[in-house]
Amino acid sequence: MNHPAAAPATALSLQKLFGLATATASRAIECWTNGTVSLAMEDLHEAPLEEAVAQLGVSEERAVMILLGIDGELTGDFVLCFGERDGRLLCSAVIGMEPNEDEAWSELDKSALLETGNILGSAYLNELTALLQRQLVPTPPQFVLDFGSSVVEQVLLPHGMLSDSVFVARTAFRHGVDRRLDAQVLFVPGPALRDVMEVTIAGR
Amino acid sequence: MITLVETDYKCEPVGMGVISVVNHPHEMYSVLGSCIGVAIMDPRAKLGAFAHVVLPQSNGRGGLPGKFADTAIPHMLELLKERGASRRGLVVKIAGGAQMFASSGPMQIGESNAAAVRHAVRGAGLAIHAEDVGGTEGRKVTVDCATAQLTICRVGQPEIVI
Repeated sequence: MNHPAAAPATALSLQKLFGLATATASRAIECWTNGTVSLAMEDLHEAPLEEAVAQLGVSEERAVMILLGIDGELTGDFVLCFGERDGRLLCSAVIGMEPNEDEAWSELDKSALLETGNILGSAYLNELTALLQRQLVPTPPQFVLDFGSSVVEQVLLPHGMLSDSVFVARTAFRHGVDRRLDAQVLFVPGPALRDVMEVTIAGR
Repeated sequence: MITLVETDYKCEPVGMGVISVVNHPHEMYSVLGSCIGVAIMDPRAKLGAFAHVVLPQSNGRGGLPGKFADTAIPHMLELLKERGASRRGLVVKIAGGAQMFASSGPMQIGESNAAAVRHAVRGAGLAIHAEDVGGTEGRKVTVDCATAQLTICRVGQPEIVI
């Protein structure tokens, strides 16, 4: 089956949904980082699969990622991706210490990022659960240090078996008022979850 | 989209679904997860093609010829022939096909991609000379068509050359 492109109304509704979810996630991360880090959705659009990695702005260099799956009947993947330098900056905001400059990631830094992934993932999933009235079960978060685009590619490819396009939501992370962080959030619903989202949105 | 690189680039990034063709001294690279990088090189002509293959089969779907294993290989051979490569002496090497997620799930795309590329290469009457496929980590692969070598980097591991 090749999933057809979504109607423009679906894109608008998804934009509204992810705008709300991002606002919830931003409140959660502001609370978690003592007000130093915030996020906002910049735009959402449908892109050809092969252009999605470039449009998301995910680095080809080493990046730290927190992966969170959705298990059960409705599946999906949630990825929080940081350039290494800004991942360490986020850790320092969470832990309240100067950024660790060692090449290796300490267990404390990993733990801070894992918890950040948990908080952000839960904020997004709570909004989705409220909209869909269906239970979404997150898996434990996983810390990964790898080439950013190679991991995102692996998340997107199962979706590519069914559809030639994906929705790309660009999210800006900010540290303080004006410093933009090298960070992205990626959410890829599995086929059943995507169908439920589209049906729910069409019925609203 | 097909990119023919002349003299402006030193090392051409090859994105998902793209096929690039370059002459020495230029090189090409891709960062690969579950996708497969396929290099078909004519070291005598110092010419090579590199495809960033995304999915195993086109099954009538449109899109870039480099996106699918079954359409990429014939297209690469056509491009190399147009640029004067000799079919005799072509060297084929592949890398990629990582599988970080769902190791027991039904959609093993990295493995499926590798199998489809091997099948397409055999179907074109060629052999694969070397491969670095599978595992759970991404790879950065750089192609040198003069030596017909692929240099492969993985995070936290020593670089290898195949």
